[in-house]
Amino acid sequence: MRSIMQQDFRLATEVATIKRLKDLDFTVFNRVYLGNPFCLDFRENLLAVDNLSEAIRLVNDAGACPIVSLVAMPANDQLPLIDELIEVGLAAGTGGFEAHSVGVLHRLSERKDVYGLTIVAGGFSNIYTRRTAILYAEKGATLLVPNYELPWEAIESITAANPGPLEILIHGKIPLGLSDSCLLVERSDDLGTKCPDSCLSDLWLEFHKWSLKSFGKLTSSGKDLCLLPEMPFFWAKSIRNFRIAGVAEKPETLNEVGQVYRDVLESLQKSTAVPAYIPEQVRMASRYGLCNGYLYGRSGCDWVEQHLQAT
Amino acid sequence: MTVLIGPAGSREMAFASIESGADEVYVGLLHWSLRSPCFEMGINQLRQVNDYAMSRGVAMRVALNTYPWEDDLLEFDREIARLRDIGISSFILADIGSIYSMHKDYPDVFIQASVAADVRNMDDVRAFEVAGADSVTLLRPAPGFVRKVKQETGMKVEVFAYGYLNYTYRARCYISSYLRHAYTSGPSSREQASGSFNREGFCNRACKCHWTITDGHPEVEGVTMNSYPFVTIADLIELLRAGIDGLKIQGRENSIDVVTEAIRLYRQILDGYRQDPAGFTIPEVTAESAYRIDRIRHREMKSRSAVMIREMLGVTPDASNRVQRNR
Repeated sequence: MRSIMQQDFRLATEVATIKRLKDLDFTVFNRVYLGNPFCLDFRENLLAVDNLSEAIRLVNDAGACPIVSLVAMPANDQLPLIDELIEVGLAAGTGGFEAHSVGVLHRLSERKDVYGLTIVAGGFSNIYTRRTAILYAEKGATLLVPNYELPWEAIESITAANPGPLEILIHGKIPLGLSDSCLLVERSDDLGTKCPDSCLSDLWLEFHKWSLKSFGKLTSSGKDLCLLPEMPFFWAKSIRNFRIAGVAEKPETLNEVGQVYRDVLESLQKSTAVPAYIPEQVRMASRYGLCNGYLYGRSGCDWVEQHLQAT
Repeated sequence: MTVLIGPAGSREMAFASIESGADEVYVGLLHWSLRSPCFEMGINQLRQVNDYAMSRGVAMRVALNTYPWEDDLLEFDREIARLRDIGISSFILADIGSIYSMHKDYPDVFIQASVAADVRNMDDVRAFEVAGADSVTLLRPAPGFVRKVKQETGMKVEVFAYGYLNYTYRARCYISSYLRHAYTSGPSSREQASGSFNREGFCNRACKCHWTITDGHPEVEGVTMNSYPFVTIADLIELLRAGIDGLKIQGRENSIDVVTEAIRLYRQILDGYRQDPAGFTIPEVTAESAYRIDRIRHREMKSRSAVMIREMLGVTPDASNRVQRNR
């Protein structure tokens, strides 16, 4: 097994169930976000607590860092679950927690027993500026995920304020919206599938030239974000934390796509050349094709052959 | 005492809100308040409205509840300084970093955490309080939640008299900018980002489009991401008893007729409650009026959504290029 301890980058993904976790290739990923924080109804969600300890142990045993992804935007009646997840996570030896809301981050900041762990301010925590990034860092966040809408210039301005390391979503379906309800559940009679099976079906939303994925209470992009061509740029800019969106993906897809990114990151670490093309398996993994997201200041679903230049 | 807060999507609407019985009015600063520029005001208009409001003993607050981006911060600070110069001391913000920063720079100003701050639980309330907010806006809260905020924090609570529970949480939705997002140079020094709700309020209303659920073949057609209109009237007495500090009338994008009718109706209710908090009930005819007003408002919003969708599809020009009549 390849040593992942000596690498100075973190390639992360998200896994929602113990079954999927067992099929994840830990030689590819060295940080794993555990649970589907967007929809507690997701089948066998690790946030249902039963399997969370085992999941943390599995990731730790594999030499990777487990992060418990806490319920993204909890209502009042879900706050006790947040506490329970923190307790279970701490007892099982989690490497950290992810919070998407200011309230959950605030709750974490009031607990001394999480000091020293990785506290991630997630992509829905709306970090648009250095001011919010610094505030979250003061509240104890040690890893910051800038808002998905930001172009590179805005991300770079945040890094200039040095609020702490940033983690960039580099591949997969971009999380675009959180809801209290699920379109597929609302239409379950028409579809003939019921929760929690609906979102595991191969169902998509299409309108005009656009596509979206309704995945429980999360709506994400139909296309897959692909920033593979920008990895040398990120590396040159000292970005070392990367995430491949995984909540809606099967482990085999994550392993295959993740391996491509890992190979590039290892080449960059060794200062060897990286391929300038996007491998076929990355293109083939996406039903609706690839997009650049917001990095170039365009619509998130656009795809252009463009590269940022490190100066 | 619960104050009635009316919208001011234009100078005329501001005057009408005040004349109809609002205790406070809220105005969106041009390019900074999650609405199309034609429902916002520049500094000059804002000053006129503030002067008028003050002469009538009515307070005014100014919304800058976009999520500013890094390039905006300098301009954001300048706008705040300008507003302070003309005597504005009450603001509506959404971004917690901006709230924190404003509170440090101007500890004496009143800061309302906007509905776009997505405050959903007690932890959120506490986080915003620590950051420097004085008040939170809650969307259709349970009376128990309001009571808890009042008992356990120093925060004021405002609720909407009516509004929408959108399919997605307000400031946690980037669907619009994923589909169509463009930067345009507007008349201000600030670059406008149409399509981004959080930055501009220029949401394309993609949730109102007719989507098809497909697995390769259409399974269900005409699917919209439903929003649920709500009218607080059935819970209003309980919310008043729970101690809400403000009842807010939405409607900067609505017609002045609808807004004034709503303000008069809720003025009547608040005055009735104030006279007899223990015994007051809302007459059925009043509740019916509230629902009727909401239906009209709903129709107006639907036609506005249709315009936004046509713009997204490129059928009509982009709203961000419209003349800024309120400057």
